Amino acid sequence: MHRKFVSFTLALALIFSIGLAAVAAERDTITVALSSTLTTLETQDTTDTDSAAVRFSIYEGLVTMNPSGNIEPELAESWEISPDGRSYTFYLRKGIRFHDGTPFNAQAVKVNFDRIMEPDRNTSATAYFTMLESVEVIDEYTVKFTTKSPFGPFLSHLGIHSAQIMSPAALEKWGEQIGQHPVGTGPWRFVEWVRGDRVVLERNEDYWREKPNAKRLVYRIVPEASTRVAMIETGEADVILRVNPEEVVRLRANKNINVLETKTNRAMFFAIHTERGALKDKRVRQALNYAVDKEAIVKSILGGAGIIADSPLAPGVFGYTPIKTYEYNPKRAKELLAEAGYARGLTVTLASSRGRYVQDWLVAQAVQAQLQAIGINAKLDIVGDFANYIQQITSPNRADMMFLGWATSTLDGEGGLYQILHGDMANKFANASAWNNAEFNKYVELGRDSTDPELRKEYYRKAQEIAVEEAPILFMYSQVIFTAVRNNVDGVYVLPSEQLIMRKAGLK
Amino acid sequence: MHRYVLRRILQMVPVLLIVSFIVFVSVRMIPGDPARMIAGLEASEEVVQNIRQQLGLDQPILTQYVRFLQGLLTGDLGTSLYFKTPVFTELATRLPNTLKLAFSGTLFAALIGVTGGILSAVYRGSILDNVAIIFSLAGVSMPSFWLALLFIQLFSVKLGWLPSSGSGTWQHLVLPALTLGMYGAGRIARLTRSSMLEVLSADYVRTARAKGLANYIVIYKHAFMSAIIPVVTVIGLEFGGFLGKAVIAETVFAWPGVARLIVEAVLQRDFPLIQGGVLWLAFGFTLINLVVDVLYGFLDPRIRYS
Repeated sequence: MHRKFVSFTLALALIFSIGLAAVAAERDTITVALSSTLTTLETQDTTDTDSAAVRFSIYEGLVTMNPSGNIEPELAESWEISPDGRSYTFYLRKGIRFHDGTPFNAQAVKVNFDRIMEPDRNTSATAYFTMLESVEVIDEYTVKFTTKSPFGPFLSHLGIHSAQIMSPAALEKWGEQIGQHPVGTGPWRFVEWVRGDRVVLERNEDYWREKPNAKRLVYRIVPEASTRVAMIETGEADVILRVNPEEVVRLRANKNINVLETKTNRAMFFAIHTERGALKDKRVRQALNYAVDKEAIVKSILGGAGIIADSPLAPGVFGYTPIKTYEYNPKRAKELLAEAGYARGLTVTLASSRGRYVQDWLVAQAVQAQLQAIGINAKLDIVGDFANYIQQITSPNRADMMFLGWATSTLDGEGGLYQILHGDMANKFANASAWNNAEFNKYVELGRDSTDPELRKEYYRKAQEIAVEEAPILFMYSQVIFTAVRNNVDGVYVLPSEQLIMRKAGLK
Repeated sequence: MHRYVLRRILQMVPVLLIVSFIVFVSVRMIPGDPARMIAGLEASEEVVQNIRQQLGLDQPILTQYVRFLQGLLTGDLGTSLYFKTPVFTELATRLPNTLKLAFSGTLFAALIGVTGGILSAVYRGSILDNVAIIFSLAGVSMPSFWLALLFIQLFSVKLGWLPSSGSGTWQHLVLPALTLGMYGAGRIARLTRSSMLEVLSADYVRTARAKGLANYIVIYKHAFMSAIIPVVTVIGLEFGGFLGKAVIAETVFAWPGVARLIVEAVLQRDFPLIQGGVLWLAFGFTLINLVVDVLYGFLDPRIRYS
């Protein structure tokens, strides 16, 4: 009996020691735990943030966004803009090859953008390049883009992941299956994709800039936030995305782990239905803004992870100007309601998603309670299923106030202002406020049609002033997200557009 | 026997057709637009409308269903809207993972459950019995989500014995299979115990003992073989149920299985993938039922098929 017990224990110990060896990762590999399933590694399709993060390692664009969100040259060395603002001529960097050996040149650029412009192609990239008229090859390393009309934020659009350049030879070879066989010019080349589990990349030995010092970069797909936290604690992952605010304190206490804080371009707000009853009145909408204690919400629910809004745009977006914050002032809110003839209160319906944005439904509950505190009968509907929730934006039966988060992925004010507030989009996607203000519309259009940065900033400032005064939305905060990185890895950063960038990541 | 099996297989066809129709219609009834999910939030209504047309989502539901059936006849389940890959490949690469999980979970549940149940019945009223009852109660009532996180904290973070998530080696399989098996083990143990108790007090068992047969022969041959029928039913049902319950284990342990895939497909409104996935699950479930029914015949010679 005793002998049996001893051999059993030894066998167990052996089994677990094998397990132990497997847990300790090889030290020439950096492992990232992403949070959502990867869709496709084709640059031009789908907008999910995690697929884009992987693409940033494999591909490069003509221009790119640096960590502070400014556009800088990448595959293009320099460019010229024609006096009428419609043509952009890019001078390309020479001697760069794709991972499959295909040379990078003007023809490669043209092939990529012609693909976006194919009439039957309706991918996410299409949305960003509807203004494009033609792409011409001038010579081997010069390429000219022409837009239908002057389009101010054009360079910002070229800087997003959907405009990154794929190998024309690979496109020819794989066609619509390119998304499973990505070939770019970036610091990491594609090795394998175990569906639903991980994507493995290896160092591009012929990279034209400084090569990564790690040999392999592995992206794991780990949907559960608590599991990601466990992984960075055990060292199974070196980088984990989307750490919940309540886990940050615990991770910060661990001396092997750093927590990065990224101020994103995602503005969080409640769209107020401006065509409905009392909400038509500007004073009522301002009252809603005064009634909510944004600071308390950010502090207690988000662990401080939010920048209180003072404009419809998030700081860091081109054209953002701090206008004013509606401070927490329930007294002023009640006065405004009384002035508008609602001294005895009114009823509004609120809606929020659950789990799409950081603590979204908890924030919505707090707002509901604060509106009730000044005599507004606020009813809240929390929708767990996001596909269902965003569908409501265009529904005539939507709630009076919908909690939304808008990320301006181009980091240009045009993206944020046009889509969510311009009259063209009223009752469409995504102006859930149904707001249509002629003066505001005018300034947004002027900003879009101009290519002079100073003038554009000025137009956008005016547009933001009108939006803050008219309050078609309840201004909340812009989102701050947390990324945890183990001490042995450096060079990791997260763009304001929420994509994790591993291009310069290395082992210490 | 052969004819019986053949007939049962043929009966599966109408069942699967009905399932496919219900799924096909119901995914289109729930609010949420796949075209919008594909195009992204920033896309204009025009782009979204074009995608809808391209995918044929603007056609009447019946036309779409007929097209789906035509594809089905040629073995084509369509293309996933979300991954842009054939639904068949997407399911086929994930299914072995889920089966591995379900098999090892069931195996664990059956081993622990049956052994625990027998011991608990044989030593009824002893400390052993009480401990087994407490464990089986805990297994049945603990939420698997919580159990999974507890396992990760203990075995991965504190002890460092097993990887917290992922797939590839057998070590990766241990925690998700344990999580999955706990519930089933509890249920099977309780059922085995009560089934055994019933048989142990039967006359023929007393006769067997009176004949002077060894205790283990009485328990194994006379009691257990008679008590096993309801247990087999439950093990079969557990296995079928695992495919559904696997979604929690697959999510928490980042296990690339088919259950998580289908839930993601629902969230993204990936119609072809939902349809294909549910059809596969329905097929698997009916198949398991058939296997269990056939197994009865082997275990209990009194059961005849006609």
